[in-house]
Amino acid sequence: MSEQEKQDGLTRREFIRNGARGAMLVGLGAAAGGLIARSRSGDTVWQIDPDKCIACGNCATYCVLKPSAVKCVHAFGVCGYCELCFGFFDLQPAGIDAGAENQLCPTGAIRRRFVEEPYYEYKIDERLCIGCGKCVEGCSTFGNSALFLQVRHDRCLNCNECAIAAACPADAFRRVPAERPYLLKGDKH
Amino acid sequence: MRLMDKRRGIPACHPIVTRLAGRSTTGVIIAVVIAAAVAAAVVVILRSDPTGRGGSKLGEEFVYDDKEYRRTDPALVNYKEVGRIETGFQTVRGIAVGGDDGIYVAGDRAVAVFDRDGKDVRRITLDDSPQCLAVAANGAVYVGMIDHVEVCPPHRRRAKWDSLGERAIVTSVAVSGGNVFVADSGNSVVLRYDTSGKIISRIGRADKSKDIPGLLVRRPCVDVAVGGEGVLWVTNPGRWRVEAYSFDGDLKSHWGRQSENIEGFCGCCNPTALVALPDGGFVTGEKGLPRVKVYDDCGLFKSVVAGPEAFAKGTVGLDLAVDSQGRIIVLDPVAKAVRVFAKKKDNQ
Ligand code: SF4
Ligand code: SF4
Ligand code: SF4
Repeated sequence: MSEQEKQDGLTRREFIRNGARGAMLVGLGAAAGGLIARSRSGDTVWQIDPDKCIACGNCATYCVLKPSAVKCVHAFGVCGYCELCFGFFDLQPAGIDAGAENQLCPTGAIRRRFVEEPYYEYKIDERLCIGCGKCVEGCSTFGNSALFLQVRHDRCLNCNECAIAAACPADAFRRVPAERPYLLKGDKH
Repeated sequence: MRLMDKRRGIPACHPIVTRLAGRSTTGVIIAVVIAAAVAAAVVVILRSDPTGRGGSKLGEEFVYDDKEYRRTDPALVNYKEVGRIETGFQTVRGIAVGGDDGIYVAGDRAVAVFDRDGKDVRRITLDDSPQCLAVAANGAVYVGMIDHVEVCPPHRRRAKWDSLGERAIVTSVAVSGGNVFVADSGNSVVLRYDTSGKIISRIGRADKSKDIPGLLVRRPCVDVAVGGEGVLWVTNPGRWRVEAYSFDGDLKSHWGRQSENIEGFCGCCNPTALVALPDGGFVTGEKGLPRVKVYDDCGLFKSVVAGPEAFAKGTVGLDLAVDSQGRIIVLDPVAKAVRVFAKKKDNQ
């Protein structure tokens, strides 16, 4: 861990765990709020069931939008805050630091911040994420499955026939009520 | 000589013939254009892949490649599967071996007991879902529920011990003489009880004065096993090691290290299962790369019982036991079955 990472760190892991989880929900909540304003009661939107998704990569390339409306989402309440995060690091990284050569995400979309020994917090930069699911596979294989894919409704066009849903090999896409447009890990759904 | 349009019987230079010729050239062009458009549409249709069968077509850098670690060198595999018991449970959680090598499996809302040949002998029904279990020498079954322990003696009334609180996640129980050890992964501690359910000591908490870094639990999977000479072995999954404690909670030694390679423990937290062998060695189980391995009494890797090839991808929650014949009994949560592995003979 670099000195800078240490200085950026917070001392109360619980605070981060609770506060950050709140932050994720607020972030998705804001997007959901905009969606609700645009939708009528009874409307439905497309969403990915994270328990069915096998991170096949099709979400990155089949969406009619470029880059895809599907992004990686981080469930802070599920995360282990591992120093050696398998969603963040290559399988055999040269070092446990945030050097680009050690990172798993091909677009550099995951940011990490030191919380307190030995915990780190991970965040997704949605401008860079293309929804490829590589980090999702790393995290679900070796970690706590805290990273997963979701259709982001601040950009999704809610196509009648979602092009990804048609191409999804895991049948993970389904229609959900527009008032509750996200299927979050760690929450019962 | 005048050239004649033979089909129409008029001179070829007649204005009507040239007009018709012009029309047929246009027709040909239109036909060619239509054919080209149809061909292009066919190509587009053939190349488009609305069902996703062709895959994402993302570059190699987007592919998560852990194939290399999912293959085990056959020379390292010293065991082979010799039996399998279908539990009949929807969910299986824990396994233990009791007297006469009876195999006890915790699953759904019951404990199923099989004899060493896999015959279903009896079921102990429970009010809730068991998480883990241990069988004492007197036949009493100690069942770890999510936040407490229930004791099922063979011929007496059951006892229910006090709850360990809202955060508790009991993941392992071990019994030795008058001691019952209970791993509470939710609170990152191992509790030592007497057989009446009274807590005697707490083991595994961080204590700088005693040089104990403490259990680092990112996912509830702490396992405990009683070794020889009053030693309690505890997995410390977030530190990828197995720690030896006295029954009073002093840290005596530890072994293990992080590595995706076969000698180490893979992923963010492993091992998730542990058995202490009579010869002082150990059997461990991992998630991520599901693998069952044998280590010697110093914690040096000896051999593989079953590698990732033997389990479904994504298998989490293997549990282990060993019987009096040295057979490794593996509870496979995906197959919902007990899988029995025996040492290969020299020529196998
Ligand atoms: S297409 Fe389906 S399985 Fe593939 S990444 Fe998207 S949701 Fe997951
Ligand atoms: S690995 Fe893929 S899905 Fe994960 S953050 Fe990077 S671009 Fe997004
Ligand atoms: S509905 Fe349309 S915009 Fe939204 S994820 Fe599917 S293809 Fe992309």
